Amino acid sequence: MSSDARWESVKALFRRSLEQPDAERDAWLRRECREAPELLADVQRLLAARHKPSSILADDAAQVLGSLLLEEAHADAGLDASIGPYQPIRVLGEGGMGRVYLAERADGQFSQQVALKVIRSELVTPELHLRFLRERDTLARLTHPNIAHLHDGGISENGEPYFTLEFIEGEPITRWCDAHKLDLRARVRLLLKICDAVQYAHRNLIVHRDLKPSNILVTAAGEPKLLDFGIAKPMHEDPAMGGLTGTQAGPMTREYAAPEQVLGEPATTATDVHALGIILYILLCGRMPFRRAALGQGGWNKAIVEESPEPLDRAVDRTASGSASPEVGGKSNANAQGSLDANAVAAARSTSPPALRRMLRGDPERIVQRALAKSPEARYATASAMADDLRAFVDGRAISGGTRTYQLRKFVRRHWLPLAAGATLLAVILASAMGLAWQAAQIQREARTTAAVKDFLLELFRSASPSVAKGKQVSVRDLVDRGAKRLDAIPAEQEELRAELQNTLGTVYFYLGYNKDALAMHTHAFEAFASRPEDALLAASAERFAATELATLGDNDSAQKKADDAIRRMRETRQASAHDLARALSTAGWIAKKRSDYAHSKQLADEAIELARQPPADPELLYLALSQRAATSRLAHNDSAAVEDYTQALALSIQLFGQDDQDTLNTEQMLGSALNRLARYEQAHAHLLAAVEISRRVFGENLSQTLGAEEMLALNESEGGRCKDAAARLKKVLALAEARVPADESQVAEIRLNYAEQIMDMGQLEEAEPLLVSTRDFLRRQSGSPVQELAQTLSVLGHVHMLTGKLETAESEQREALAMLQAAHDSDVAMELARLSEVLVQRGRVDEAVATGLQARDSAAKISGENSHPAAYAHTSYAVALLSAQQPGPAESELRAALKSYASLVPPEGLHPLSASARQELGNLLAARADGREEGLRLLTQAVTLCNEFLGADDPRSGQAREALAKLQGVR
Amino acid sequence: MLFAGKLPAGGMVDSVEITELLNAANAGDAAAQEAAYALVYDELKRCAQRQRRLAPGSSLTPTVLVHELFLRLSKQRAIKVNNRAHFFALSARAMRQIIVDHARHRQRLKRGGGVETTDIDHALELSGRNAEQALELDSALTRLAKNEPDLAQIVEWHFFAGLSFSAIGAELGRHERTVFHDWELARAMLHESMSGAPLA
Repeated sequence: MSSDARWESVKALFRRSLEQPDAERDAWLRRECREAPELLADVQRLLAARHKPSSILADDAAQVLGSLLLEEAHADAGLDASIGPYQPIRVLGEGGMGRVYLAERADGQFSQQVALKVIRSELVTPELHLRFLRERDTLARLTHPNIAHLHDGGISENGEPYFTLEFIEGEPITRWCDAHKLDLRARVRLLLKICDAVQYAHRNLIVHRDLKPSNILVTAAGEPKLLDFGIAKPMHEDPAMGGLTGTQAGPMTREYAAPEQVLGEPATTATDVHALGIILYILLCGRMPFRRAALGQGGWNKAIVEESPEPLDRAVDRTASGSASPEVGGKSNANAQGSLDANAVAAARSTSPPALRRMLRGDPERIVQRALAKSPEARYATASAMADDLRAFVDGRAISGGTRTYQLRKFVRRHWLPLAAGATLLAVILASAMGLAWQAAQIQREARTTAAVKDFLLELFRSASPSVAKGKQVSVRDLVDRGAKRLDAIPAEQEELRAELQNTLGTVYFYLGYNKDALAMHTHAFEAFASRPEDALLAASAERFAATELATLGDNDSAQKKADDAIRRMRETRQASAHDLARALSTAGWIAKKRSDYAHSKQLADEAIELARQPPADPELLYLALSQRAATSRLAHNDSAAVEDYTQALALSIQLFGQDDQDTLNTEQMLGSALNRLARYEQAHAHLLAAVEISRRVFGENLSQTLGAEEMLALNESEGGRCKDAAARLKKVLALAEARVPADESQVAEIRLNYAEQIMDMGQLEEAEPLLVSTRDFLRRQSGSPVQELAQTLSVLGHVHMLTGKLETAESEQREALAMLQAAHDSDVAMELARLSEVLVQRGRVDEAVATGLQARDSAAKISGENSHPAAYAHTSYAVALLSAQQPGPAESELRAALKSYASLVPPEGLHPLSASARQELGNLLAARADGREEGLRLLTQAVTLCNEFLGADDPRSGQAREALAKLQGVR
Repeated sequence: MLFAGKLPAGGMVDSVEITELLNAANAGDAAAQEAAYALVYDELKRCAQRQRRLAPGSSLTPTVLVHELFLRLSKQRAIKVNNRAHFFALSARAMRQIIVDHARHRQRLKRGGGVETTDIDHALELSGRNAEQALELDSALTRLAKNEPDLAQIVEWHFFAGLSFSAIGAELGRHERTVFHDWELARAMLHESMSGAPLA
């Protein structure tokens, strides 16, 4: 029976059984299902599911709405009057002590929102008052990044004591972990922060006593915060006060209580350790530790005192009916959580049920059992002792094999540096490395050796399987290391086999990124192969790998020698196919490119491409060679050649790997960048947009790849004159990057810089400045960040300072940026020189300004070419310097050159927003002459339009442009 | 796009306008459909708030709300017979949306820090579950509508628009009993779906 037909039968049976009297229904159904017993359970289940005591469907919609409205009325109450200097915004919660509001300063002194706790006047008994004040004192002593901290406190106009706390907008830790599908280690890392916070409180002689998921909120930034020390008690509590606050009478949440709390014994630091144990238990397996949870309050108490926690791996499979699991994941989430099945629990931990069960055995189980020991003495003595074990678990060499490595770190500047390649699964790497080795072996070697290699690798993997490794997880690195060690045991007469294995393990190391180990392996393998003529091809291929590894390790010259030697060996042996040779040529070309020997690199790539095209065609090899030649062309500033190769490479990539693939994505981006440099902005836009869309589909909306791709697209829009689109896009990308958890600070800095520069160009100086300052400070702290990024930040910031009249600062910033680039032998300094020249004009140092402007112009033409933004900009700056030196003739030709550059960038007229100043200067110049009035008028009109649109009518530069135009029109 | 314009802010909704919108919506004008929905939503919300001011949470039923509106419209010859089904569908949708809106609002009120647990809080807590369940029901119903649109319609009309089984039967030209059985089936499926088990 198909599942559709089966479902139709279930429905029909269900309807007909409703026709039966209640008492006879079940018997009737069993009779009906005698022929199809598989339907019986389904229909019974549906019949039972009709009535669910607490269901919302037992009411009607209006009752539901009515109670919602009632609650709202309740929650909105008390929001009118201010409390001290604070204005409540809404009710966050209610407790025995009073209300908690979200509030902000009514006097507008700070815009920060706070959680405001106020003790209700009708409830002010001496006892509550005391506890309230105690909480205030308790909190005032705690300053820890993972504890919500106290702002201030006082007495309101109505005589109600209040205090304000850091407002934490977040989700309970359990729910947050599920929503973000955190794996076990990430969960434990989060809890470690809370352990530290608890330890900190303990050191300050404070026990929390009410630790539970709803008291640990995780912020949007992924930071866990411990709240609610409302019932925290100082450990050295004055016995006289014991009667008031009552160590046992105080509120606590039953489900998270420790045995001593249930038994009315004093709470100690071990009580908090127990609660941390329960939270850990839930985070790990999604259940409460005690099966007896279903039995209500009395059952709970009994369970806490008597029942040992169910082993984690078994708890995973506990069914919904076996546990009421109150409060898992925060209070209001009880329903949803309690009914999760093992699949859902595992999915929320980014794994599968069998893998989860496996991971929960061993260390996690041991830690949980110790934290949840019934007797306080048997538990971890301190939160930090527990944290030590948790840390050992997290740092354990084990890796699950499902970890994705994202390598894409890049630096997108206006000059479009290439993007590195992306993410791969370790398992895939291993499999393909092994696959390659086997393939090579199968072609080359007799079957017996091949089988030996295969056995060796299989044995290696078998040793990592859970049954052999006895529950300990083994990392891929460990595994390969283990294999390398075993090689020593291979007897001398099997040297060939050893070489083969060294070759294979070398390749695995290489794919894992351990280049040094890879180099050692390949070198040994090469030496063994090289002495045997029948292994000539293997020798050449091991040597080629060694060359790649040397280059990756930075020794380019040795790498080139090895690669050239590998080519020689390939040419000499008849074992090598055209494609083997092409591969070696490609490697050598890549190394030559790294050595900035572009001519040689291109020569090698030309031959590789020709060979790769020989039948039988190898499109993948051709793709690699084309991409590489394109990259070389790009570096040699031959962008048209790069566009041609990338276009072919793109077609191949789509054919080979499909549309949604990292390689296709990279190629789209590289092609877009090359088109961009040719100022073919519209074509570039299409490819960069395609890249963004691929990235969205492959990686998701806000992964760094996608953000980087969209950033490139924004820079394209900016250069193509679509400044508003660019600013909006950068703003969006920046917000997404900042909201990422955890945030990639360097990427945020980079996007912030580009966004700041964009809005600076649009006259939003006040907004741009703080962004630039924070970027500068971040980059200065960051030791490894590229010099160009800091230099660009300083230069843009200097320009903002010049525009806001801080000339001295501006000059020193431009000079620092220049010095930095020069120290790094980066000759791409046109923008910095041009901006320096503008500052010098402002400071009245005309001769220096003219000299600097000239340098800027020449540098721009040399590095970026005449048809480029730096050239257009430098022409303008130089012209401004010439004008202030009373040289209108040369200034005019510079301005015309600037407009010509802009026209080539944004055809036909070059109406790029940044061209406004060149238009204005030239317009003024021409307006002074009788024969130039008409052209001057046109240029000034354009300048006014551009200024108004992009800088806004209020910007002083727009004002200047309007004045100039008005003056000219007046003269007329 | 006859009625794509902005809705009048505040004040009473013009019944004639609703009629015109319903007619146009019946004729397949998507914009009119949206506009009619928005009017009904507004109107229902206003009814609900009026009820709340009178007697918080007590006498409010969807039947009262929807029929108050319906009566007022039909008194002014506003609703033609063939518009009735359409009108109930709109009302149910609006009611459902209002509940979802309030439930979300309610949940926002619950978020944030510094909340203590006591008896008072517990009272709020129970009804916080209402909001949770309302949202769960909403998504379960969306899932149901994908596979069993007819069953989902009955839930909408009965639960959200407050129509009796016989009224629904009359609208759909089916026997009251059949409608009731469908309701039972839909409810069972929703319960299963809301507790996480797979639907059908």
